[in-house]
Amino acid sequence: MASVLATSRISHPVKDISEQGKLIDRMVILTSKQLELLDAEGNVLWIIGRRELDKARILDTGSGAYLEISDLRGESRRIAFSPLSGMRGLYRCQRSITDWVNEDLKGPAQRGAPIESRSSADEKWDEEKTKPLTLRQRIRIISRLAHYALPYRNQILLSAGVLLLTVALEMAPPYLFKEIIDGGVLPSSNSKFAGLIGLLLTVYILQALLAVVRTSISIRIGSQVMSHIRKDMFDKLISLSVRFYERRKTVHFIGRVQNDANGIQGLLTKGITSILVQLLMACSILVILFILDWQISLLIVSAIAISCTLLWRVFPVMRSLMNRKWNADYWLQQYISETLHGIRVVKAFHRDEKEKELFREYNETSVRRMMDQQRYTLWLKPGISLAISTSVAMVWFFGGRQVMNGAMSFGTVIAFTAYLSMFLEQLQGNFRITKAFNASLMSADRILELLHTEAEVSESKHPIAMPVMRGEIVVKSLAFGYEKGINVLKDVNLHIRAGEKIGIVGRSGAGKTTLIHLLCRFYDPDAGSIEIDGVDLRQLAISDLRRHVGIVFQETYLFDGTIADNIAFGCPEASPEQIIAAARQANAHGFISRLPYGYDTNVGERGEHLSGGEKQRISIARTLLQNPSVLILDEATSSVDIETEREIQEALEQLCKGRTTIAIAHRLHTLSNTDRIVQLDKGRIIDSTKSGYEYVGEGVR
Amino acid sequence: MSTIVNLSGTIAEDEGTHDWLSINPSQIRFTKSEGGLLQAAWQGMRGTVTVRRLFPITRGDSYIAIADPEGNEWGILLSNVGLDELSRAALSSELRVSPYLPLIEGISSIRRRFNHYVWVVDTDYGQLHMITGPIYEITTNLLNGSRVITDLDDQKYLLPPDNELDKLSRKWIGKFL
Ligand SMILES: Nc1ncnc2c1ncn2[C@@H]1O[C@H](COP(=O)(O)OP(=O)(O)OP(=O)(O)O)[C@@H](O)[C@H]1O
Ligand SMILES: [Mg+2]
Repeated sequence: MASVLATSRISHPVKDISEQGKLIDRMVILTSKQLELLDAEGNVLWIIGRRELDKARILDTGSGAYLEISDLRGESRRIAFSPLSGMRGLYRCQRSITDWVNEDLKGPAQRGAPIESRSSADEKWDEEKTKPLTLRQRIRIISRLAHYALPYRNQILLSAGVLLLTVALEMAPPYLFKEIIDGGVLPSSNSKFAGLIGLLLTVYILQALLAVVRTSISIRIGSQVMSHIRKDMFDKLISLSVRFYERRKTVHFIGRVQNDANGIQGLLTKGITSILVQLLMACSILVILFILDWQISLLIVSAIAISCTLLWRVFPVMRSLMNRKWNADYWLQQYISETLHGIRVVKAFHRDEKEKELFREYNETSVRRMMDQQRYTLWLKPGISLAISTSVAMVWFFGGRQVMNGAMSFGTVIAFTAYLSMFLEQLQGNFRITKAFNASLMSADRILELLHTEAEVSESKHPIAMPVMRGEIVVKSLAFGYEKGINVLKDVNLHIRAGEKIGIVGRSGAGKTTLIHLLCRFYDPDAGSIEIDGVDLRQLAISDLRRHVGIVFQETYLFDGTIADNIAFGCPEASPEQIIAAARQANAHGFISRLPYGYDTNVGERGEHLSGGEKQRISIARTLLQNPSVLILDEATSSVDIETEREIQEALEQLCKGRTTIAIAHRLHTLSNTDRIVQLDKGRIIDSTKSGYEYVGEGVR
Repeated sequence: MSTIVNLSGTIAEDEGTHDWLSINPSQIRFTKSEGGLLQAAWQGMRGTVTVRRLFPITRGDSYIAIADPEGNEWGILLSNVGLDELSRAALSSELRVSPYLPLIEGISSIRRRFNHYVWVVDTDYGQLHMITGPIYEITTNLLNGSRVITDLDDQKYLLPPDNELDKLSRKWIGKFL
């Protein structure tokens, strides 16, 4: 691309928004001397010399980004707006302009230097996603999946051998027909006739036996391979970072783990061998056909060639119809799951009718697409059958005439038609297999994509173990944003001594939760660092970090199970004494012991059988049982009444002894016993007060 | 009573480390009053008490909370093993309905009616009929292989592991569960 730039004009169509809020088309033209900005009619709006241009940068306003170019005098101009041109379009144009300027400044020596910017990586990703699978890619996918089948290679080989034998046996009957007719029936030879029938029966019995053997092998390997793949997928899903899930819908993964593993299991265990064998079989039949009568065979081959070409054209359409149906099903599933999860909200806002209507739409789309797909394939099967019958009739026509002329035996015609229908069945079978094969490859692709996703937050290569944590936390010039360009935290500096109790206050959205998410290393900072006991979190062994840092989340999440299970979530081996002790500390024992099933009470899906405050206290107990060195409370008492809050506070106070505690609260009195209160505003620390009372006294809110 | 939880400590070896009082079975006496109320005497305290199982399903005979009628907890009885004979009898009869959790001893039949199932089961409370919803919704597996079955009224029943049931019951389980 770089070399082209030097000689020719490059043009980028971009879209911007006018001051009146209208969409306007523009064209950025890069010639060897200057950059021209044209409007839709081709009128020049702005020209800037190649050497006068200073930079092209992307400015994020929070609600869309602009591409802005500025000249050396400091004058700048917005030329494109991301919601209209697309973020990638913006990056592409920016890169092109930057390359164009660089090339001029640095001369040809720099030409072709790889500029691996974010945008080019994105583009590559984009292209890879949209291209159909090439043969080489398919082979790569299969070979990478092959290691799942590797442990069973002996059985797979055995099953392939059995399959080969089956093929050979399937070749026999038509030949036997010929012999029966020409050698037994027509000459009326009783002994030969009986012998041949016996042989035919033996062949059929053997065929049945081999089929049983083959299926039993594939059942055994198949399920093992599948459970292995599922396990790997789930392990991966668990290890992926929080951010991975923020960008995706979780329903998606339920289906993936179940269906995709299923989809490739067949491919791995019998698909590949059976394709090879089928191919072999088709070839051998073809050879036999040519030996029996090459002229008729030639006719047939040309007819098949024509049909294949037709099918070749049908395939892509079918695939697209299948994909469209799949998408509609996916949306439907997602919609159901989302609505049912939020059923209370749906009812509270009286959205029942509206939701039903929405469902109807999703459902209709799905059904319509299914019908589209089925209609399209409607004629396919009858069409193929018709073609088959026609060719059989053709064989009878030509063959029959030759028999009448005495040029061919009657048995040969019978054998020929039998082989032919076998061959055509084969073709049909191959057609089916190819379809299944394609679907499996799609599954395989999705599985590999998942298994090869790098966890954004991953264990360092040489993790530092920390069996004991004192709990000194140093935050240095920390910056972080969930999306690039929008910083939620900016230059946060904080030193928390071991055992100190600090409170964090700040407006909603100030970044309090974000700060502690970083402390728990759900994300890694964009800049700056967080150290615990002098070790950067990125270096620290994740298991030790999780063991020593306990967090009570702002939003309580309990798992379907008993209260005892939920409290012991972090320490499954905890004794009932420990569970009761933790529940008491969190002031939960009282209400638990009044429940008919006590600690064995089932909390329901996501804990919905309990009240908000009860859930919160259980989640506090869960964290306390973990006995962390660093205790983080994200508005841990926000959904309990004042009285309970005071009780929990008392318990927490005892508990904070000897631990570093970070408590976030909206209500200041909650933090009255902290050593220090830190105020966070718009991602910055604006105030750090020594005493909680002082803070309250000043009335800062 | 220490206020710091000893979370890594083990059972009652060192009672002082829990912030709650564990009641040693050998030190408490239970009796039934004339009116059928449960009375207890422990460490100078005596009077009517209410008792509750804290882990009725997973550890039925251990961890029993003892409280006065106002709900102030005396402490937690770690196990009913070690109680004297009379106390044990008094306590068990009181705990019989705390909670009411029949133990299924045998299954006489399970019949499917539309989307409901009608069970006829023998329990430690005698033969019962129960009606449940679809099978996949009503069972919860416990670690020891037992299952809790919940019927349409939210009443729970304990179903022991398969190997503790007779052949007929196993047949019904094999057919539906
Ligand atoms: N997962 C996320 N993806 C993108 N943006 C996020 C995400 N979580 C939070 N934000 C944004 O980051 C900012 C800080 O959020 P944060 O949850 O840290 O606020 P907070 O101070 O804890 O507020 P509150 O007191 O309401 O809990 C908010 O503007 C929020 O919209
Ligand atoms: Mg928050």
